[in-house]
Amino acid sequence: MSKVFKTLAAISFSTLVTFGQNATPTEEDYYKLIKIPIPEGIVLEAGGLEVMPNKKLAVSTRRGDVYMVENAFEDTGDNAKFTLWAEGLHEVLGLSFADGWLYATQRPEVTRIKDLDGDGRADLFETVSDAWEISGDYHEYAFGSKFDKEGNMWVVLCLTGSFSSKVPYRGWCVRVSKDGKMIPTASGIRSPGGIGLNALGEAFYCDNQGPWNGTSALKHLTPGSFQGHPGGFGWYDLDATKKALGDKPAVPVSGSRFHKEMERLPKYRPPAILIPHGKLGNSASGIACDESGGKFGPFKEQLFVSDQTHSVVNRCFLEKVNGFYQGACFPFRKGFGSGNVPLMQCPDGSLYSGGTDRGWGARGGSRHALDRVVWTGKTPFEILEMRIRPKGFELEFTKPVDRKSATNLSSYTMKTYTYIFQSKYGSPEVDHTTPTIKSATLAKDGKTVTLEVEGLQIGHVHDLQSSGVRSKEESHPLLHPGAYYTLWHLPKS
Amino acid sequence: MGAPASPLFDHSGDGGVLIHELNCVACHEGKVNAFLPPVGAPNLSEAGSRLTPNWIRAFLINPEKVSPGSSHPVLLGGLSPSEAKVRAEALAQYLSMLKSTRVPEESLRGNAETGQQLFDQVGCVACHGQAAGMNLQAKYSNTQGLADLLENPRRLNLHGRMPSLGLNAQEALDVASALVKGGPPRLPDNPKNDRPGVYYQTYAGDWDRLPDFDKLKPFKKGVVDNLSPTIAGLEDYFGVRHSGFLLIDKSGEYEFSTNSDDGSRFYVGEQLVVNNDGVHGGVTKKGTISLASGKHAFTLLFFDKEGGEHNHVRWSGPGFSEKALEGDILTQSPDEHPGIRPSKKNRFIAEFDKVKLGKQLFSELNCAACHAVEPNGKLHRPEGILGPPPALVEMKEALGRGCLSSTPIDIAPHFRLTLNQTKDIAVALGKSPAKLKPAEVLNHALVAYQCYACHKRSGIGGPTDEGDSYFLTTQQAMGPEGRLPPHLSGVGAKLKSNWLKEVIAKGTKVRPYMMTRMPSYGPELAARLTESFIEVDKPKETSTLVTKLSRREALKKGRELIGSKGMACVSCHTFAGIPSLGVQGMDLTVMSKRLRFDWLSRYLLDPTSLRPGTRMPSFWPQGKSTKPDVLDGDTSKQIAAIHQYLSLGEKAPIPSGLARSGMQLSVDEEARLYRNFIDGAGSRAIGVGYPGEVNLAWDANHLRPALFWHGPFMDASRHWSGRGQGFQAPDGFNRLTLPDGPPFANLNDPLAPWPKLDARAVGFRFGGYLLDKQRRPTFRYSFGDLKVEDFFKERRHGDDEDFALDRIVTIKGKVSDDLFFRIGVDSSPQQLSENIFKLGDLIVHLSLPRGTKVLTRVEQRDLLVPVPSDAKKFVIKQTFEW
Repeated sequence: MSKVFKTLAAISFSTLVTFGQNATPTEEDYYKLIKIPIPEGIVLEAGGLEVMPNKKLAVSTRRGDVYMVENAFEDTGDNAKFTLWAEGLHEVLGLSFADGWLYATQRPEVTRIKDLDGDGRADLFETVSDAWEISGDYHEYAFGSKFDKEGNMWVVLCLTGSFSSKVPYRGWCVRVSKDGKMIPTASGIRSPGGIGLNALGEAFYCDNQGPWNGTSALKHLTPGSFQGHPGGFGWYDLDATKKALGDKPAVPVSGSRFHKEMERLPKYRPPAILIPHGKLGNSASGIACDESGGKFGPFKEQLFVSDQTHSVVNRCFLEKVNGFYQGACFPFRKGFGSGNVPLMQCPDGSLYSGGTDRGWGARGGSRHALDRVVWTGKTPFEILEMRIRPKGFELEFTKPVDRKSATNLSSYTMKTYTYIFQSKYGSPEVDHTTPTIKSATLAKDGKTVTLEVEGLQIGHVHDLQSSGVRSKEESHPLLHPGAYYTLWHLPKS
Repeated sequence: MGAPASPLFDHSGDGGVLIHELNCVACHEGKVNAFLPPVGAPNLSEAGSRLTPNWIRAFLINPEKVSPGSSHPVLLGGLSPSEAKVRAEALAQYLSMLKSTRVPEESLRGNAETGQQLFDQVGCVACHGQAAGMNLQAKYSNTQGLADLLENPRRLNLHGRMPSLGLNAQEALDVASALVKGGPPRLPDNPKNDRPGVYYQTYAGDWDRLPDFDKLKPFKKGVVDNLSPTIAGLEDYFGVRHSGFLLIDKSGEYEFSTNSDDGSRFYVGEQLVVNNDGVHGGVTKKGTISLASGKHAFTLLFFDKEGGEHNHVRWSGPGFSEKALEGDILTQSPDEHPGIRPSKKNRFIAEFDKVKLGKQLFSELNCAACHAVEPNGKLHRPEGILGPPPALVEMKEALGRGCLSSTPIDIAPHFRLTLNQTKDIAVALGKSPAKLKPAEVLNHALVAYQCYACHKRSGIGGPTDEGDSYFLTTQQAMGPEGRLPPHLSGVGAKLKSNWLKEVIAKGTKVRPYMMTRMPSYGPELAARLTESFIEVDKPKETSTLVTKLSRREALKKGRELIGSKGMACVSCHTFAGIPSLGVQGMDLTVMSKRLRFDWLSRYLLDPTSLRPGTRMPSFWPQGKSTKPDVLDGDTSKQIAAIHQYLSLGEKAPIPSGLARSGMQLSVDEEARLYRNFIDGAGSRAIGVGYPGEVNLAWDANHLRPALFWHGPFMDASRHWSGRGQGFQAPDGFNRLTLPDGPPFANLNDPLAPWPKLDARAVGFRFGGYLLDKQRRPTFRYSFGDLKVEDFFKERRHGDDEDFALDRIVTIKGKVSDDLFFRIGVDSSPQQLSENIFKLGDLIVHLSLPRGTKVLTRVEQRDLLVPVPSDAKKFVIKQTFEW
C-alpha cells in the first residue's frame, strides 16, 4: 500500500512541476455546461426528454407536466422559453416522438399525446398499453425508451419496493409496440434509473445499488434474459410470459459472485459494466448514445450514462466478447445542477440532462435543473477505448501520447475488486487483488498502448489509474486518469 | 430544586395516610385505604442485573444514608453492627443472583452527552434535580440494567411513583449512560504465568461473518509476536483467533479500533469492544472501554473470504494518542485466558452459604410482603419466625413495641418515625380509613406523583424559580406558554374525560414545541385521577345542537372562520401537521378530541380568563364577533360551526389560506387533472377538479367514477414531496363513494348479482381521454366491440353556491345481448319522481332515450339501465347531486 502512495505522490508532484505555468485543463475547456434558467414557478423535476419536429425540447416531469422549451439550442440558455403543454399525468419518465404523437411513459401506462386543435396545449391522450399492474407503492416507476428499429418501446418496471413484486411485471422489462402490444421481455429488474438504445438499436438500462445489485450498473437487455434480481420471478408463471420466454431460471445463490452465477445460470446476464459505487456515482440513471457523427467529439457511438446522486455524466465504452457486451466506464463531466435522471443527445449533437433531487439527494444542490453539454471542438486527452486482450488491455487514447510516459510502468496502477451478489442491500467492494502490469508497449500509431497484465480477474472491475501518461503535443495528463473495466470474458485472440 | 417533597411528611398529622403510605397492611391485616392510590415496592426479580451488591448491602444497613428520603424500613437496626453486616452481605448475595432474562439489543450504545441533555429536557430534572449531582455509579452495576428500568419504570414497580417519560430503548440507554457514566472500570485478570507474545489459532473455511471458532478445529496454533493475520499463511478462506493479555498502566477510558479486510472483532474479557464483522474491504470500526490498571484478557477474531486480507489493530488511552497495538505490553498464557467470558475478578462470585442464608433472611425479615422475587410474582403476607404480625386493630397495645418502637428492636422493621407521627398512627389504628373529600384525594395524588413539580393548580405548584430554566421550547415566540406545562386549574372541566385519561395514562403529547414530556402513569391511576378531577372541577355539558345549524353549513362556515379570510386561526396554529403561517401553535385538529364544548366556548369568548397570560387573542370581544358577515355574525352559531368543523379532526378539509407547501391544486376557470394514487379510487386514479369546487376521481382500473366531492380539489404534497409514498385522499368535503365493479355487465339472468370482477380482467380496456376547451376529459374505454365515452361537466344548481355534476355516457358499436349499465346502488333505492332517484346520499336525475325503462332491483339493491341490442348509439344522461 505505502508503495502505491509514494508513486502517486511522486506523480502529482511531477504534474505540478510540468504544469506550473499553464492552468491544468478542465472539463469545461472541452465540454461546456450550459445551465438553462428555469422560470420561477416551474418545478421541472425532469423525467423524460425529447426533441419535437419543431425543434422545441419537450421535458416531462415527475409532477406529471410536459413543458415545451423554445430556443433550447442557442449558445446560452437565456432565451429559453417554457410553455406548459400537458399536465396532470402520472410521473412521466420517458418521452419519445413518433408518427405525429408524443409518446409518454407514465407510471400506469404508455400514452400517446397530441395537440389536435393546435392551440399549443395537448388535448388527446390515448392509452397505448397499460398491460402491467401497479399496487400503489412509490417505487413502482416505469421508464420508457425511444422506439427501436422494430418499432417497439422498451419499458423497465421497478419492483414493488426493493425486494418483491406484488403485481404482474414489476421487476420486468417489457416491450410495447406502437399498436399497443405488450411483450414480456426480461426479468430481474430491480430499480431502474434510466433506459436507452445504442447505435445498433439494442436496449440498455441502468439498475441501482440494492438487493442483488452490489453496485449500480449498465445492463444489456435482451429478450429472455434474467438481469439479476429474482423478486419478479412469479410472473414467469403467467401464460403470456411462458409463451414468450419459457421456464423461469433458478434463483441465484445469495452471497455468491456474479461470474459464478453467470456460469451456473444460462439465462442470467451479468451487468455489461459495473459502475463502482462511490467512485463514479451512487445511482446510475439516464443513457444516451453518441450518434452525432462527430458533432459531440471523439466518442463515436459510446454510451453516456448519468448519475443522479453525484450529478455527473460518465462515459461507457462497450465491446462484444464471446457474444456478450462488457467494457469500461470513465468519468466524463461533473457539475450538473441537480440529480441527473433523463439524458438525451439532440440532433445538433449536444447532450441534454434533466435533474431532480426530490426523495434522493444529489450533489448538484438545486431542487431541479435542465443542463446542456456542448462540445467546444477541442479534443480532450482521454482514454478513447479500453479493450480487453487475451493477456491484458489495449488502451487507445484520443491523441498521440508521449512515448516515455506511456511506456513507463509507474505511469499505471491497477487493482481489481468485485461485489457480493446477494439478496441483502448493496455490497462492499470485496475480493481485492492487485494484478501486475508486466509491460506497456506503444503501437506505431502513437496512440495505442498495450498493457500486459498478470492476474486478470474474471468477474472483477479492473480499476486502472493512468496518472503518469502524458499527451505528446501539450504534455497534458489525462483529463480523467481513471478507467474501470468489467471483465466477464477473455478473447481467445 | 433539591430533594423532592415526600408525601410521607406532607401528611404528618394524618395517621391514616401514614399507615397507607408505609403500606402497613402488607404485613398487618387491616383495611386498605381505597381513597388513595395503591402503594407498592419494586419487584426484585431483576435486582442482580441492575444493583451492585455493595449498594444493596449499604442500603440495608442504613437506607436513609444511602437513599435520602426513602421510606424503606431499617431491618437490621436491632442487631450488633457485625451481625447486621453479615446478614446484609447474605441478602446482597441472594439478591444479586436474581437476574433479568431480557436480551438487550446488541447494536445500541448509550451516549452520555445525549443522555444528559435528555435528562435535563424531558422532565427527569423536575423531580430528581440536576443529573450532575446524582451519584449512581455505586448503585447500578451497568447501564443496561438502569436503562431497562428507565424505559418502563412501571414494569417492575406497578404502584411506584416513578412514571415513564416515554424514553425509547436508545434514549433510556443514553440517560442511563449519563447517570452511570460508563460504570466502574473493568478489573484486570492479572495472569500469573504469562510470557511475551500472543497466542494464535488459525482456521480454514468460507464464511460471510465470523464463525464460532470454539466449534472449529484450528489447523495451526502457537505463539507469535504480533496480531497480523498473515500467520495463517493463507490468502483466502481462513480465520485467525489471537488471544492474550494487555498491560494497562493507568486506569481510564481506552479506545480500540480495527481496520480489517474482511471481518474482525476485538474483545476485552467478555466485552465486545470493536465489532467490524462482515465481508468488506479495509473498513475501520472503533469502540471504547474503561479499564483498571493491570493485565486484561483480550481476544481478536478475524476472517478473510476472498481478495486482500489485513487487520490493523490500534488503540489510544490516557496520556497517549492512537498507535498500533503491539510490543511488550502483549503477553500470553493460554491456560489462564478466560476466553470471551467474564474472568473471576469481573464475575460476581456467589458464595453458596451466603446466598442460602440471604434467601432465608429474605423470608424471615418478611421482605416478600412488599417485594416479589419472580417476574409478576406474588407477595406473601408474613408468617415469620414469631408467627403472623398482629392485625392493625390489635396494635394499640403494641405502641412503643416492634415496628412502632422509638428505637430499632431485634429484627422488627424500623420506620424512623417521629414521636408525633407515632402518635398520629396510634390515633388512626383501629379505625376504618377516613373517607377523604374529592379535593383531598386529588391533592394527595398530585403530591404523591409530583404533578406539582411541573404543573400549577389553584395557586399551588409549578416549576420553581431554580427549575424554570430547564423547561425549554422550540418555539421561542410562544413565550412561557410554549415551554411551561399547562396549569391544571379546572382541567376536569376543560378536557374530555377520555382525553384526560389518555394523557395521564399514556403521556400523549399535543405540544410538540414543548421539550418537557408528560410522563405516563398507566390506566389505573389515570382512571382514578380523571374521576377526581371531574368530581372537583364539575364540568358542564352543553351541546352545539341548540344552534340549529345544518351539518353542511356548519362545516362550510367553520372552515371559513378558521381559514385566513376568517378569524385566521391558521396564522398561529398548525392544522393536521401543516405548518401555520406564523408561530407553530397547537394543532387545530386535536382540539375537538381534547376540549369540552363548554370550555372551548368560554375560552374562545375570553381566552385570558381561562389561561392567564395566553397569547391567544379574543375574536369575540364582549361577545361580539369580529366577522359579522359570517352566519350573520351570530356568536353562538359561529362557535358551534367551528366546533363541528374541528370535530372532523385530521379528516377536516384544509382551511383556506393554509398552503400545504403550495401544493394544493387550485381549480379556476378550467378543469384540472391529477393522475396519481388516490385513496378510494385506486392506483390508476384520475382526479378531475371542475370549476365551482366540484370534483371526481375516475378509476382507470375499473373504468368508473369512484369518488365525488365538494370543496378543494386535491392536495399534491404527499406525492410531490420526498418520494411520494402512499395514497392521497381527496381534499374537500361531502365525499361520496361510488360502487366498485365494472360499469357494464351482461346479465343472462335478470336477478343475477352485479359482477364483482376486475373490469380489466373481463375485457374492459381503458383508452385514454380527450379534453374539451375547458380541459374537461371525456374518458374512453372499450368492452369487446363496444366503445364507450364517459363525460362529466359541472352544473350550478338552485340558488345555492353548490354545484352538481352532469354525466353523459355514450355507447357505440355492437351491443351484446342482455347488456346493462349500472346507475348506482343503495340498500333502499327511492324513486322520488319518474326520473329522479335517491341512492343513499346521492340524488340522480336520469334522462334516457325514449322507450328505455330503468330497472330497480330490490334484492340486488341496484339501479340498472338495459342497453338495447339494436341501438347503434345509446346515450345515458345523468345529473348527480349529493
